[in-house]
Amino acid sequence: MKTSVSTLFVALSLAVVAIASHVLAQTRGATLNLTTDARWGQHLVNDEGRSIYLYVLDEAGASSCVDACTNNWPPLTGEVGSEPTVGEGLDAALVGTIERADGTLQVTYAGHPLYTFRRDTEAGHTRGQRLGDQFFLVSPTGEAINEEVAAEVTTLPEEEMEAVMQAGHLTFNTYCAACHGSAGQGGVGPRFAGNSALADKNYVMTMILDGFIDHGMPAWGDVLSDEQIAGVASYIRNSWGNDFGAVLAEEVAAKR
Amino acid sequence: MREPSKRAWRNVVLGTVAAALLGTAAANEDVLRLQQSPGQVAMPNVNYQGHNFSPLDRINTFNVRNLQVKWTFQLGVTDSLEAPPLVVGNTMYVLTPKPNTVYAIDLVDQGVLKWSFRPEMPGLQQATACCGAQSRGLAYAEGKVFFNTLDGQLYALNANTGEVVWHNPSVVDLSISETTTNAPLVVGDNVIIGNEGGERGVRGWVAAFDIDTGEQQWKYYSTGPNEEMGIGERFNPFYDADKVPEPGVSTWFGESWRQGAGTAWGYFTYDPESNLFYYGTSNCGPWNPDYRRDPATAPGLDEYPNKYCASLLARDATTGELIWAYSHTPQDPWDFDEPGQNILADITIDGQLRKVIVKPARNGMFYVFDRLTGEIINEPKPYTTVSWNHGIDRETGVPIWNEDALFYTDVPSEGLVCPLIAGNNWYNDAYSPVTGLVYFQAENRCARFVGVEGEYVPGENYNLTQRSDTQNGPGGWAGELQAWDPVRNEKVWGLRASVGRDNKPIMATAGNLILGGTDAGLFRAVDARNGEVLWTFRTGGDFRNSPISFLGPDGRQYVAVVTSRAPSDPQVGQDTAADDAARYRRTGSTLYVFGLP
Repeated sequence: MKTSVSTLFVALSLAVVAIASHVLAQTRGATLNLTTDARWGQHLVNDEGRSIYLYVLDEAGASSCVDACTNNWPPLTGEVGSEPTVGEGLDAALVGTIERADGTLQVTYAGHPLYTFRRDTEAGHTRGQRLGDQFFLVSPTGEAINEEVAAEVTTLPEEEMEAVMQAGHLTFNTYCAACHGSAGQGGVGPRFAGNSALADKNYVMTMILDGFIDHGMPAWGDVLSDEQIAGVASYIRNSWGNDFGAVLAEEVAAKR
Repeated sequence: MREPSKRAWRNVVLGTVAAALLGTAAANEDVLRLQQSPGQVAMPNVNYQGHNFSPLDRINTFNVRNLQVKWTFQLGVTDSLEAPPLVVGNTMYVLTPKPNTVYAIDLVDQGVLKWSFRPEMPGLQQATACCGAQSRGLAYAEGKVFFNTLDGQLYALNANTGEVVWHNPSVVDLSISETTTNAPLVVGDNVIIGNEGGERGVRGWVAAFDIDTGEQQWKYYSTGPNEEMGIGERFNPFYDADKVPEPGVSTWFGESWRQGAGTAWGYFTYDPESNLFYYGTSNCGPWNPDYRRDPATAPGLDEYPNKYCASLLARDATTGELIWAYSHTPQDPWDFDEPGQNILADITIDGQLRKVIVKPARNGMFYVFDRLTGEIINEPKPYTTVSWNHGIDRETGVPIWNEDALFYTDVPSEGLVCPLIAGNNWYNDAYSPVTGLVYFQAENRCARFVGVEGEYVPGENYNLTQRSDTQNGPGGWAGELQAWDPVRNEKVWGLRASVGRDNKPIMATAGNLILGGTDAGLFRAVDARNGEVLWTFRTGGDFRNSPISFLGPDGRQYVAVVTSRAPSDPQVGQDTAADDAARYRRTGSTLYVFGLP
């Protein structure tokens, strides 16, 4: 019963959102703005800061996102007779509209019909980015964004980092090397040398703290201290050619 | 005690003899003959039907309390030993995890070593199976012992001497970290094996090799174009959802079937009458379903059911052709592999004798199929907390989805997903023709799932999910030994784990015993009729393989089990609770043989 009540609630709130956005689309022309995302750089958003996407299957300025697709990817629509407005950094000359099969006007940028994504529930979400290699955030020049900007890496002073790496090495040899290999080459457990998954420090911390018990990784949260986990996480992220930056004990403590 | 078991045994024998007389049996005659000898254990799960049932009853509910250790044998591995031993003639064969070693142990003299064989394993470094160094069994036929090494070699050894009869140096692609962990099945002149690698985007297959020469006879995949899946004119699935052109391609988004997993790492069963063999396929790969469905229409559960991962497949054991298939968990995003043996039984339902498959599936539902057609003939019921469906639509065979359990990239499931990973994992189940009940270890856990972004890198982990809020499901239990009646389609009794989950292999005997280990470090015998614990023995180890029962050279009945620990078992920390299961399972591996005084 609990599940069906929450389903109903979600359905109702979605309905409210749907009605609200419908009203907005009716009362104003569309607005395009530019925002800067830490991972994807500058990309288009709407007047509420929601991410805007293009669909690679759209050809010759026509939208091929129809029917069920528009539930996931609501077209960015504008009002007849009302020009879309563009924010700073965007080229008004690239903005246009096309008429969809249902008669609504869909905003285009550099010829790409534009969409928002239903599962982006707040400004700043980019959950639709690269989905299925078919939906992409849009750059100020109207291109699909596919490259990440360099991630911010936590760096420690050299001496401090050396101490962290030494302690991490010790912890690694004691608890991890048996499965992951003393040179991070893997064994029963995954290889660490050159493993890009280690770039995600939240993933690394969660894996060490909670393990993945049915798939071979013990939970170390009860066995190792925050400092030990930060040390070993830093060690595996910065050895054998890896260069992903330090993990701090405070970050581990916050994850518990 | 004796009467019902003899009758049950006679029925099994008569059934097989009838099949042989009909001339349809393509079964291996030697393997069949050994199965008909009640004191022998010629294959994992004891017989082709996967009953994991010993027809011996000299050790029974009346005298099991007198059981005592007769001898032990040290196997010297610190890993999880998951292969049930075999007993052929007066020799016991034990396969250890990597570095894989086969021990032939002489039963005449309290377990003296006859020979051992340890192959070179040059591919061990790349053979990173998902969850440790599993090897789940040996097969025996015509004087030969067959096994897979973890790094994808296939061996046939002379059972008397341990000498290599033939050797296939690699049946896998180690560059994508493909391994072999399952127990081979011998049917006719074929030894059939499958691959492992569902966590690393490895495309699943089964393949047959000639038992005398090692030559490959056929190899068919779980996904992809029809000709690569063995789908031809004989493919006749029961449900409309499976009657689609090129199911292994059309039910996948783009080329995602290439990394779609559906590996065959579990136990096979075989029906000598129909010459079909049955197996479940692994999780779909990657777990994050956003990589297997159209982002425009996601979740697209009807459009992208991703056939045939997380499914049950029936193939001709001689030709490998796919005869029917069923998706237990279409588009499986929750790691619902189905490695457990598909138990074959002939039971009377609504006054009709039905040839069925009984399957307490990993996805939490208890199924009974017509094993010739693939039709579900019961109302599939949850045997543990199941949150991902509201039942199975009997018309279509498709689950009635609970959308709260679905998740997306960066969007967690609204609700908890139960069961978590497995309601009943690969651990051998058992079926007793005496009680008519099916026995298995149920698990009751839940978690929230979320998809993460990533790319396929050959050989590397390709799950692209994370979990949080892991907890026991409602009801106050984490694990339970359950006995189900497949005729009445209901649980008859349950025995809950006192600590941990007791998620381990079990076996049944005609002495009305269920034998298996617990997370409290106990090996135990339970009354198959009511779940009463009749006898326990503390080993201080864990139990990762099915026990067996056999007749010794002295004509007496014995029970054997190996204790071993999985590397992934939780660690004991400073503040680990006094009754935590981890305190009861120490590293090491010992073969125990029990008998009556």
